[in-house]
Formats: sequence, C-alpha cells, structure tokens
Amino acid sequence: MSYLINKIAYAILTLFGVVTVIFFLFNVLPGDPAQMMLGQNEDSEQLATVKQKYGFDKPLSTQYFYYLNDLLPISFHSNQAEDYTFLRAGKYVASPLFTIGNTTTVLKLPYLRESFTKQGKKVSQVLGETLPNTFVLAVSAILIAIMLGVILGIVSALYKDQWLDKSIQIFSTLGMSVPSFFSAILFAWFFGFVLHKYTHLEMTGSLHELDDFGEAMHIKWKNLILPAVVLGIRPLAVVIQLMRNSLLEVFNQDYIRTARAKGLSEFQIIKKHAVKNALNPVVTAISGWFASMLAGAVFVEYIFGWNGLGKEIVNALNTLDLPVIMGAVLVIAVLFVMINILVDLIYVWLDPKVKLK
Amino acid sequence: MSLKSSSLKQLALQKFKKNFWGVFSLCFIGFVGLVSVFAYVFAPDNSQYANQMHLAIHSKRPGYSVNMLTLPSALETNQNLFDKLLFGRKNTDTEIPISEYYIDKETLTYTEYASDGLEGVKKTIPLSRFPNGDASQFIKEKTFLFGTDKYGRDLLSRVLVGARISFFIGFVAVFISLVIGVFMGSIAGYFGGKVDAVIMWIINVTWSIPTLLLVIAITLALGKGFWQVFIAVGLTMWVEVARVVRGQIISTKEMQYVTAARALGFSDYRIITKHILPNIMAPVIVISAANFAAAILIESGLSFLGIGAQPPMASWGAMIKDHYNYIILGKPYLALIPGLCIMSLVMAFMLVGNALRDALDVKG
Repeated sequence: MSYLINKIAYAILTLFGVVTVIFFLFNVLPGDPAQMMLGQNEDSEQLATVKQKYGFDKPLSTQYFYYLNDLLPISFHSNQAEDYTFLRAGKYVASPLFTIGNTTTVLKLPYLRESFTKQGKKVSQVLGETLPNTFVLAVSAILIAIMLGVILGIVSALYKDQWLDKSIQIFSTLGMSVPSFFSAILFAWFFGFVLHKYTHLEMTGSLHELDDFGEAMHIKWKNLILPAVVLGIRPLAVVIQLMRNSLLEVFNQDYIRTARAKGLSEFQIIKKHAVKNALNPVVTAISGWFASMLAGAVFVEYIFGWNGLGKEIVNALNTLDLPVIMGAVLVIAVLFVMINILVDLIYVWLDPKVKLK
Repeated sequence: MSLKSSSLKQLALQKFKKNFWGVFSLCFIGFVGLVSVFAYVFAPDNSQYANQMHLAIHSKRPGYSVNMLTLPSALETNQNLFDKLLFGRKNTDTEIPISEYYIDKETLTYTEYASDGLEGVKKTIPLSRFPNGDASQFIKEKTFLFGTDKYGRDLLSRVLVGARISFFIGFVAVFISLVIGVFMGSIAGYFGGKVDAVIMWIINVTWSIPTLLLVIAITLALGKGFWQVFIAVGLTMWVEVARVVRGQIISTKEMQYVTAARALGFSDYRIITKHILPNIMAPVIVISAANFAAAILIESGLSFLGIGAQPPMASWGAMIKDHYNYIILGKPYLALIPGLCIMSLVMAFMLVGNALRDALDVKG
C-alpha cells in the first residue's frame, strides 16, 4: 500500500514537471498569443480585452501560477469579477469548499482553458470528443500487436535460425524501419484503392460517419481495420523481438528441462510454463508503447481521416491553436504516468519474484 | 603463427565482420553518407536544393526525356568551386523544355513544350543571348531518371540532396544526446543521492512527454526550420543515453578498479572519464545507433507535417507530403521513392545497431 502511495506521489511530482515544461515551452513562443487568437482583423480594444481575459497582460510567473491554478483539482479563486481567477459561471466545473477573505477555495475538474480558434470551445470538450476515438484505435492496435506478436514470437523462437524465424525477423526489422505515415499511405493506397474491389475498405474514414442521407451518425467498424493494423505494425515488430528473445532465455531455464523430463508435450511446455514467464518484458514494453501510440496516432489518424486526438493535434498545429496542443500533450502525459503505475502492478502480479520495494 | 591475445575491441570487430547484414548495412550507410556530402556532384540538377523548376513538365514518369533549352543567366556568380560543390549552384540559368526549334542566321525560334496535346507558345530570341552566338550548345536532351515532381523538378536530384538532411539530423541529434546524456547520466550514477534524484526527476518528466509531441513543442518554441528540429530531437533523445549511462555507472562504481583509482587519490573527474566511461561505452554505442535511426524517422515525420525542413529545401519526408496525393493518380513512385529511401536508411542503422549489440555482447 505504501508502495502505491509512493508511486502516486512521485507520479504527481513528475506531472508537475511536465506541466512546467509545457507551460514554458509554449509561452516563449515568438508570437503574441492574443494576436494569434484574433487573427488579422483585431483592433487595439479587442486586443486589450482578450489580454485581460486570458491574463496575457500579467508577467510570465503570474501566468504560470494561473495555469497551475487552472489545472489543480483544488484551486483558489478571487471574488473580484475583473480578476483572471474569478469563478465565472460556465468557465469552471466546481463546487466551493470554503471562503477566506477575498478568496474561495474550490474543488473542481482540471480546467484546460479554451480553444483559440473554435469560438471559445473548451479544450476539455475538444479532447473529450476526440480521445475516445483514439483510444479505440490504440487499443485495437495494441491487441493486434500482442496477439500476432506473441504467436509470431513463439514461432520464431521454436524455429530459431531456420528460414521461418529469419523471415519473421526481417519482417520485424522492416516494421520498425517504416515511418508510420508512409505505411499508412501504402496501406490506404493498396487496400483501400488498388484492392478496393475485393476488400471494400475505404481509403479514409472515421469511426462515426454520417449515413448516406446525412441524418444520423453511424458507427462503422470497417473503417477501424486499416488504421488499427497500421498503428499496430511498430508495436508488433517490437513484441515479436521481445517475445522471441525472452522465450529463448526461458527455454534454457531448469524448470523447462524438468517439464521436458516429466514427458510433457512441447505444446504443454510452451503453454503452461514458458509463455507466462516470457511475457514480463512484453508487458513492460507495451506500457511504454501505449502512450507513445496515442502520439504516434498523429500520422495514422491524419492520413486515414480518423477523428481522433492525433488529427486534432495536426489541425491545432496548422492553426496554432496552442491550448489544444498543450491540453493534448498534458492528457497523454497523464495517461502515460497512470499506465506506468498500472503496469507496475501487473508486473507484480505476473512475476511474484519482483518484490514491492 | 603464434597465438596473439586480442583486445576486446579487436574481438568485437572480428565478430562484427562476420555479421553479413551488419557489414552490408554499414557499407550502405557509408554510401549514403558519401552521396549526401557530394550530392551536388552526382545530382543532374546541381542548383541549390535541386530547385530548378519546369512547370510545363511536372510529374512526368521515370525515364522521361525532353529537349531542354538553357538560357544563360545574365547575373555574374562569384561562387567558388568548393561552395558550388557543397551548397549547389546559385543564380542558375533559366531552363525551358521545348518541343521543336530551328536556328536562323540571327535568331533562335523555339516552341515551348506543352503537355496534354496543347499547342506550345512559339518564341523567337536573338542568338546574341548566347555566348559566341552558338545556340545549339545550349539545347540538350535531358533525361529524368526518376521522372519529375509536381513542380517539374528532377526527382533524382531531390532524392540525392534530401539524403543530407536525414543523414545530418542523425549526426547532430546523436551528438547532442551523447553530450547531455553522458554528462547527466555520469553525475547521476556516480554521485547518487540528491543529484541523482533531481536528474532522475528530469529524466522521468522528459520521458512522460511523448517524443514526437515534445519535439513539436520545442520546434514551436524555437520556430520552424531544420536547425530547430536538429536541436529539438537531440534534446529529447539524451534521456535514453542518460538512463543507460547511469545504470552502468551504478553497477561499475563498486568494481575494484574504481576503488583502486579512488585509493590512489584520483579526482572524480578523472575516475569518471578515464576509468569508468571507457568501460561502459558498449551499450552507449548500441543506443546511439538506435537513436540515429529514430532521429531520421522523427525528422521525416516532422517534415511530413510541414514543421521540419522548409521548402525549397529537399527532405524525404517533405517530398512524401508533397506527393502522396499523386499515389491515386497513377504516379505512386513520387511518394514511394523517398519513402523507400527513408526505410532503407533507417533499416540499415537498425541492422548495424543489432550487429553491434551482438558483437559487443550488450543485453538488449
């Protein structure tokens, strides 16, 4: 238990660092953010209003504290309506705890601010709409990678140094060397265009599509196939390598020899004794991969037109919608840290030898 | 022959030489390196960034050839040979693809090339435009081995010149990541305690932000352009180096030769640089090869998104960005060629990395 608390405390410390890095990276930008928001047709009065509304007229350190205050679940807010931290209705989702003097302390959801370009749409709303799609994509890709990867890794280890192993190895190295945008283009072209007659897959398409009459949104699982496969290529390549190497190591262990001596069939040995022990490095690697896949989905979603976080990031990059990019980076970092804690727990469950330190 | 005891380095070298794919990939990398340094020597179009456009003959198939009229540039160039070889020719002449021409006593009349069965514009210019009044020397048949891109530039030249960015980003990023990573990793591992805790915190923070997004954030902060990408990639990749160096130093620190060096009263600096680092270089070398590959992938991705190398600079990623729409217009090679280039170069670095890992006996 204290192990878990320690882990969580360290995770919060790490996230604090992430928030700091993100804030300062995005605030040393050469441009004036207020000007970026208004585009070309601003006048000085509007500029001043926007600056005041978002706190851009304050020194950087003050802005930094405002940012932290916006993100913290427990935050402090002024009672003066002209202050940046004033609890404006509709801005925060908060419930007040207590008031001391001019400041109210509230419990609230982290506030990720508003998009520059989408008429003040909340970033949390933008992310809330896109993140589930990316999540579906990433989970499918990971499942494909684990299932195929473990099987191919076992085959590779069983036929070590034979042609089957060698071809799987070449495939795996190839999978690691292809830029994901390039494989996405290739797959979209080949399976969605050249072989369209046979596959009936589209080159682009999202999970939710308008039907032919343009009336209702429908879920189209068909559109998931190509992006999930493409996104899965790289983790698949890694899983194959890890599974093969760790299985080869396990094969040299005494307990495998014992199992063989008992006269168990090769299949039983692999199923009952080898695979579970060989899975540890795979699980560790997947943890690192999952979050970077959310980011790696940028290219895949962009090319397949998948309405996810990645496509949103590319859009935000083109329109310099900084709050959206900051929010996206932050959300992915939080997920990464949480997954790491989760994986530590799975690791303990898989391998009782690992002591809780 | 007497038995000679070989050093670890020689043993590793022997082992590496036996790995066919490792040696092959290293040769391939050397070849690409040479090509990227001497890109303007090999490239048919040796203008700066291979940016000689002929819009009339855009996106032609590989092996396409056309008569090309070269109008000498009126501007004097005072570029020396060295500059020309390294950075391409500036103030280039105007090139006009023509379908037919005839030379009179005083004038040259030519018909500009027009595709899709259109009639080209007929123009007449005096022969005095050419040095010595000899026009025929300035009309040559030009062949485009890989065809032309959507601006009618020679694709082969663009690919050759584009090798530079991919190659040099690898070098710069690996260099930066080594300098920062080895330094941070050494002091964290060697001194431990609070220094270690702080550095590990920085490492964990950097680790938590996905590389691609961190690089995007840094490039936004530093402005678009290829130098910014170089630095951004280097600034994100040091983390892996630092983790490995730190881990290695922690396990090496207790070795007797380090204790001996300490007993002799050597300074910490000397112990780290002279005694520990040379012994833990193997995993660092392996990681650097992987980082090289990763840097090439990230740069191509950034250029594909349009925040890497800016036009007219040639970069493989940007070439795919420009042409991937042509893939369904029956000209897939425009995007396939640069894509295959990225793939083969990255794969070469990965194979060298694997071969080095086996040769140096580093646990992956």
